[in-house]
Amino acid sequence: MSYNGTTREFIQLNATNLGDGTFSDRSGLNQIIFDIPRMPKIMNGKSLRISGTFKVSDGTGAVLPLNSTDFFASAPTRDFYIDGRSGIHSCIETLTIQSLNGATYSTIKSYNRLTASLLPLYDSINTYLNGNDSGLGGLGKDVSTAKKCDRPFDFCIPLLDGFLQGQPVDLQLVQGLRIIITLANSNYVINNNKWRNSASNSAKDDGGAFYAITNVLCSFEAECPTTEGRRAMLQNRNGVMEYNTYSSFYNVLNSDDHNISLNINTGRTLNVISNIIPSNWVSNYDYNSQRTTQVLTVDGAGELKNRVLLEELTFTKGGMRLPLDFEVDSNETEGQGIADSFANWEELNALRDTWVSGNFVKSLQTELSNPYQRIGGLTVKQARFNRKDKPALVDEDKVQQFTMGFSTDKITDNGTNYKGTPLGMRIRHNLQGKVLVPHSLFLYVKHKNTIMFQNGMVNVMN
Amino acid sequence: MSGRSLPALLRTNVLQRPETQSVDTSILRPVNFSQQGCKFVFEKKGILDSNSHLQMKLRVKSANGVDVGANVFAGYLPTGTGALSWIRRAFLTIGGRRISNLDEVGQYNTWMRLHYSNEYKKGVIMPKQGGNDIFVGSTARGLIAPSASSVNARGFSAPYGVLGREGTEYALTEFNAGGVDGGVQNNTTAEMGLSTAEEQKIKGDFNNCPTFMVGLSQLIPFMRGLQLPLFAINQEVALNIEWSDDALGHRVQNPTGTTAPLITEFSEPDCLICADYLFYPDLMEGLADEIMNKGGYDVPYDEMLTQENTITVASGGDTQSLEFQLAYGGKKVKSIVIQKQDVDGANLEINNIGIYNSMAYRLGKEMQLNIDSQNWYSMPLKNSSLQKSESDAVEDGLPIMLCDYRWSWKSSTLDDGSDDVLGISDRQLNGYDQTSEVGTMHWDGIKLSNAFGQGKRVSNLPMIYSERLVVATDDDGQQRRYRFFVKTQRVANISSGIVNVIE
Repeated sequence: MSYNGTTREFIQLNATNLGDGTFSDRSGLNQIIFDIPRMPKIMNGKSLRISGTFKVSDGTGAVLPLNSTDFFASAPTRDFYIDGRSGIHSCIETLTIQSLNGATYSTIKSYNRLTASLLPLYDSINTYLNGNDSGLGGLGKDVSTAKKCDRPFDFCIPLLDGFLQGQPVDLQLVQGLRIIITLANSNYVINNNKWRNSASNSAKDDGGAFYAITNVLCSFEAECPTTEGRRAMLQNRNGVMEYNTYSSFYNVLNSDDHNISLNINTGRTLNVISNIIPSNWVSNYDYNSQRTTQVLTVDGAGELKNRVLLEELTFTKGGMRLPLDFEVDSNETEGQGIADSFANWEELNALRDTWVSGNFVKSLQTELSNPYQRIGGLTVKQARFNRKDKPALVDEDKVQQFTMGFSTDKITDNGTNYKGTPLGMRIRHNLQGKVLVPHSLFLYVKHKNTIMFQNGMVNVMN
Repeated sequence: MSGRSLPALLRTNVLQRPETQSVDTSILRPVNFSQQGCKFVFEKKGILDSNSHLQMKLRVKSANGVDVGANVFAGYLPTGTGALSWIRRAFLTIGGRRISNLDEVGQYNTWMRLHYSNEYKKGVIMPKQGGNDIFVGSTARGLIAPSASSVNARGFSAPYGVLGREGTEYALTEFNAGGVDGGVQNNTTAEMGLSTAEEQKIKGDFNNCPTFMVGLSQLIPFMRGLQLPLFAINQEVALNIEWSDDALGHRVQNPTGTTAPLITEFSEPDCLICADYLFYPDLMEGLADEIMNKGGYDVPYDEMLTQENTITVASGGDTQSLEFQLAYGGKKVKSIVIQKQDVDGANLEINNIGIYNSMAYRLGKEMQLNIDSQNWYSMPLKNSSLQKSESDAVEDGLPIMLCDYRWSWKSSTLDDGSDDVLGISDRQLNGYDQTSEVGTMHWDGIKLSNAFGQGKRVSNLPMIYSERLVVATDDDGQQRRYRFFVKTQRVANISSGIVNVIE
C-alpha cells in the first residue's frame, strides 16, 4: 500500500463520560474516558494530546489562589499551587489503554510519579519556561508555576505511554482504543507553600483546595489512506504490533538496609527506574507529592530536611547481580557534595538513550542559583536547607531530582527475561543514628509487549 | 521533468562517504546598492553553500540628517526578529526569471525564530543576528523594605512568579540592615532595568555599530536544503534584496530618551555576502555531465506565498465571525501560518518588538479551515494550548519555544478580558515595560501535509479560514492585519545549464 496518497486528518473527540463537563476528584467525575473508534486510519500516537482547561480553587470552590502576592506573605491566605516539573501530568493517577473490545494494552499505575522522574531529565529550565509551560502547565520553578495557578489555564499534554509513543497505530487492527485516565486526589496534586513559609496553611481550609478540569478533548493526527488502502485495512485481520510500556510497583522503605524482591515477570525488560518520597508527603497538602528526593531524616526542628547518604545500591536478577556486577557506590561523592557522574550516568542511562547533562536540576543550578551568601564579610556556601539568610530564592527550587535505576539492554533493545526470576534491589543507607521514617518507593519496569492479532483475536504478550 | 532526484552532493545532508572537498569563501559585493535595496550576482563557480551569509550594518541619524553622536545608543533591533527586520523582501532570479521569493522577510523569520531552542538563540543566533527573546523566571521591578518576607522575596515586590528577560536576580535589600552582611546588594528600582547588550547597540557612527549576518537560506526558501550548483548554470544567478521601510519599529527600536523621529542609513562597504563555494574535484565532472547532457535533476522545494487582509475588531461584548478566502487552486499546500499583526493606529509598533507581532485576542478565539466544502478540523479549535500544539506541528514537528504569556492572554486577564496580574514582568528593557509583550506572539499554524511531507492538492475552490471570537472591551475596534504565509510545494529542473520551474 502506498502511503504517498494518504491525507492528514486532525481528529478531536469529546470524553465518552462527559457528564456536565467537569472532571475532578471533588466536584465532578474522577475518571476521563475517551473512546477512539475503530476505523481504517493510522493514528500518530505521538501527536495525541489531552487538552482542556485547568482550574485550582480553595475548598469553597469560589476563590482562586493569589500566589502573585501571597507567595511570600507573612500570613498568606491564598498560596497553593501544583507541581511545576510535571504540571498537569501530576493529575493522572492511572493511565489505561484498552481496545474497545476490552483487551488491555497498557496500564500504568502511579503514572504521575513516573512523569516526576521522566520529564525533568529531558528538559532544561529554559524549555520549561519557554514552551513547556503552555502545554504542561508547569514552569519548573515553584514561584512561576504558582503564579500560573492564579487563573484557570489551558493545557495540552501528550500521554507518555510507549503504546502511543512508538510506531503508528492501525486503529482498525487494534479494534479502536479506549483511553481511561483516573485522576489523582486534590491533596496529591495541590500543595501549599509550607516548604518555604511555615505560615502557609491555606490549601487545607474549607475542606481543602481542589482542582477541576473542563473542556476536555482528546485530539490526534491520523493518516487517512486512499479508498484502496482503506479497503485493504478493513480486510486485514492479522498482524503484530510491538511497543514498550511501563509496569509499576510500590514498596515502602522501613530500614537502613532495605531488600526488595519483586516478581516483575516481564520477558523483555528494558530498564527499571524508581523514585522515593517520604510516605507522609504523599497526598498531603503541606508537601508536593511529586517530589523525588533522597531518603530524608528529621533535622533539629523535627522537619524532614536532612539528606541521608545512599551507601550502596545493588540490583539482582534471581539473586545474581545483574545487570551491574558491582554496587553503585556514591557515598564519597555525596559526602563531598560534588558531581556524581557515575551514579548520574547510571540513572540517566535507564531513562533515555543518550546522556545529556542539560537536565532540569543541572540547568536550574547553572542558570539561576546562587548558592553563596555573605556572612561576617566572608563569602560562604549556604547550608542546603537554610531559608532565612538566603539571598537567592531560586536556590530553593533546586529540590532534588533523585532517581535510581538501570538499563538492561542498550544494544539489541530486546531486553532481559525476568520471567520466573525475581528482580531484587538492595538499598543501604547510613542513617548516622537518625530514625528512618517510612519512605515510599515507586518502581517502574519498562518492557516490551507484543500484540498478536489473529482473525480478530487479540493476544498481548510481554 | 528529469525524474531524477537531487544527488547527495547538492543536498545539505551528510555525504555517504568521505569525498575530497575544498571550500572557497569569497567576499561578494553588491553589483548595485542603494538605501532601498541591493543586488548580488553570484560567480559561476563551484556549488554555493546554502549556509553562506549576508552581512549588513546600519547606523542611526536624526530625521534632518544631523548626527546623533558617534557613540550615542540610539537604536536596537526588534527583539524577536533581530537583523532580519532590515529586509522586507528577498528574491532569487536565475536568467532574469524569479525562481523563489520571500515577502515580509522580517515577519516570516519572526515566526521561524520562535522555533529555535533557547540554547541556540543564546549561543548562535543572538551573537550573529541580534535580538533578545529568551524569557526566564523574573521579578517585578519594585523593591520592598527589608523584612523577613523581603528575604524570601529577594527584596522584590509583587507580583511574584512573572517572566522576563534575563536580568539580575540578586537585587536584595539588606535583611539585616546595618549588620555584618554588607556585601549584599541594595539596588534601586532604576537599576533593575535591562539594556540591550553593548555589542548589539546601534549608534550614530558606523565605526561604533555592529555588523550582523543572516543566512541565505533564511532569505530564500529555495535554498533551504539545497546546495546550488552554480558551476553548471549558464544563466545569471542573482539575489535581490529590498530593505524594509525606514520607520520606527521596522528596522530598529529607539531606547527611551532618544529624540524621535530618527532615520537609519545602511553602510555600503559593510554590505556583502560571505559566499562559500564548495568543490568536489572527483565528482564535479560527472555532476556537470548529468546536468548538461543527461536531463539534469529535479529540485523539489517549498515556496512561501503571502496574502494580507485587514479587519476591524467589533465592539466589546460582541461575537464576531471572520472569514478569509485563500485561493491557491491547483497548488499542493503544505501548511498555512496565520499572523494577526496589530496595526491599530498609523505605523503601530510595540515597544521592544516593533511591528513584528501577532497579537492574540484577549478572550481567545476559535479557528477552522474549510477545504473543498469540508472542515479540516472536526470541531473548531478553541483551546489555546491545543492551537499552539497544532502550530508546533507545522515546521516538521519542531515546537515553538515561547512562553505561554507571550502566546496568549488567558493567564493574564480576568474573565472579561481586562488586565489581571500580567504574567510578564514590568521590569524595563531600554526603558520600556516588558508587560507590553503579553500575547504578542500568537502565530497560528495549520499543517496540511501528510506523514511523508506531501502537501494537500487544493482545488479551484478557495480554502476558507475562519475565526470566531467574543470581543473583549480592551480589543474593541482594533485593527488587525491578517497575513497568511502559505507554504506550497514546487519543483524546478536544472538541466543543460538552465533552471526551469516546472510545477
